[in-house]
Amino acid sequence: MPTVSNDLDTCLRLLRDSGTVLWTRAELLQHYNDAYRQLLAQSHGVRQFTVLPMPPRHAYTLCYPWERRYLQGGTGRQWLFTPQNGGKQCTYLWEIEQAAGFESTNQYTAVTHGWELAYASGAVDQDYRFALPKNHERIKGIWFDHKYLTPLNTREMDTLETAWNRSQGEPWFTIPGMGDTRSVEVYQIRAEYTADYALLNAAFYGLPRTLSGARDWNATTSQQENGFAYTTQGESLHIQWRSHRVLSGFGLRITSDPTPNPGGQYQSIHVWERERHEGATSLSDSTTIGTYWWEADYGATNTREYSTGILREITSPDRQYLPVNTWEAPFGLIRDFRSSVQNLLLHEAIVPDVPTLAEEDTPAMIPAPLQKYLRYYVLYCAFNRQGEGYRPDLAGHWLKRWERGPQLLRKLGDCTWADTTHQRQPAGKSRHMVWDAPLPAEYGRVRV
Amino acid sequence: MTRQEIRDRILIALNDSPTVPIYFATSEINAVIQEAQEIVAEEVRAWKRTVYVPKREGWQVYNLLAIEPNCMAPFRIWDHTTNRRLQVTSMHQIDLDRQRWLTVTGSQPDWWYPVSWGQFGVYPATASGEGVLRVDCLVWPTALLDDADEPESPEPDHDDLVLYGVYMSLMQQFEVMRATERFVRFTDRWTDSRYRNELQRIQARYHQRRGRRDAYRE
Repeated sequence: MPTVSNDLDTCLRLLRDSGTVLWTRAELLQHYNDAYRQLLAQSHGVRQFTVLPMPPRHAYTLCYPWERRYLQGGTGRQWLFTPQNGGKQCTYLWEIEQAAGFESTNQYTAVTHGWELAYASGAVDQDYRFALPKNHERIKGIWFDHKYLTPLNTREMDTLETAWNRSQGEPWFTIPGMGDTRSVEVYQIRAEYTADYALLNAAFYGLPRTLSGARDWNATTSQQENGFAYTTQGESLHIQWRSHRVLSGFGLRITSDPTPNPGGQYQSIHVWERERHEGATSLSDSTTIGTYWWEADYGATNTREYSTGILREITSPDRQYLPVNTWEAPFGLIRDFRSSVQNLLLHEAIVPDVPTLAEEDTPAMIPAPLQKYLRYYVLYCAFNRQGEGYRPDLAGHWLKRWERGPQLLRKLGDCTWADTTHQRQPAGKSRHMVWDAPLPAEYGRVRV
Repeated sequence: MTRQEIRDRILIALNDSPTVPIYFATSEINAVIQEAQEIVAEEVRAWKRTVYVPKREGWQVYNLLAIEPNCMAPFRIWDHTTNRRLQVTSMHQIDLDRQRWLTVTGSQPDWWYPVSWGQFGVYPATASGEGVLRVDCLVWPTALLDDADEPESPEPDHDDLVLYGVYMSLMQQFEVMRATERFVRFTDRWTDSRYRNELQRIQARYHQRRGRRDAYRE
């Protein structure tokens, strides 16, 4: 797949401005990013599954609208109530009455984060609103616990003349809501807090090392045996030095360190050795200590299969662990685990998120052959710019070429379009009279 | 025609030397030829491939690019185990018929549905993961490897590539009228290419003898 820089070179060649006299690369790059965004937005052909945990979670709670400026790319929710003059924000509805000089009436509990609903028993006056990801374009479907939520209109629910927006239970419908863009509301309210996957030992950064929980997890790897065994850390470092490397593969340490172990000079193979060094008065029986993985068949308890490298795949006969692209750096590692059980599953069309493409990037969200349409849009914008280089005829032609791109990606977004179902046409009602069998010419005519 | 022959024709049409081109670099013309192939593939939809995918236990969603890197769209998915063609449906349609279908695993999939341009799903997912799916798909052509390589399309379609190459080169010269004329001729050939690459669909008709005017009514 050519990079953005390759595409810009091609555009400059077609503009006959390889020296960037009339059009700078920065200008063309801006048009390129606009084309990328428009191609996905107009076609909504790039779709993915996203899990939204319940209750709704936002990175920030806002008091005033101007605080959105400082969200730093996160999601925010203004849970407070805005009174008539807009100068203040109220936590409870009774404050609005009081501010207006009226006698205040008792109202429901106020919350500032969604998880607090579990402690408010769900009885709140605020809408059950979920923030959508920043690269969200449109919703294709929402499911709660894999059950489809019907999209409804607020007016339809208002005809019930009930407090439907405070009703608790299993969610069954969704409305656009009165929230910001990139938000959706789901009812009925579910106040129970659902934690699917939690990152433990967050102080240890890097790769997830183990998975544990209510399900059984088994790690498998193609590399199952260790290449050698060692007893001290010094041996491990010596073996790793490239100039002295005499052994390859994974190493298994068969000793453990007592506590304390000043200078790290003592290592014990059996547990009773460590206990003796630590001054224990009664010693434990040891177990069989092995040096290679196959010795497990002979009773060795310390040899094990290695789970090496990074997590590549999770399989189960009961469900699919679907990898979902984040479409932004850093790439390669798993950053987030989410479960659709008892949560919202969103099927959404997406657009490119910030940061925008740089010259060394590739537009990975679209098929590689569609990259040419991005070039056509750049050429259209370049020739359509007022001033030197303005060529409306060329701009018009490249615009027509570009318009094919969103049409094509829209079609490709429904990847089943090529599998058409043929049906015989229905017979329909005959417009003609029924043919009568002709009688011989000599047959006597009968007049009725 | 080989890539070199196509390139030579383009350069000759532009009055440039095919052996030592001055106004256009060889790599530029090669890139234009590849672009022409892609456009013809998108409009004519003649390039097809068959790929076999092992069914994975518990999987509903399959990644198209992992199956075939140049895949444009599958047009037929056949279960090789049951000798059954999977029927096309949509997630919305399955939602109308079944609740919580995303959690259902069965013996063999019966339907397939679109997820995104690069993903499709099968329903129900198999619990055992045995057997393979045959995926017939429309693809973009692979890039021509060298000057002796030939496009996969039939010989008459190679002239389309020459037309497009001339068109792009004229656009580079800002010769809009002449380039547009070439482009119109390029697009006019698509219909011919489509018919050349697939059988005309036979439309079912209901045949009936024409009625005869009843003699009694005269």
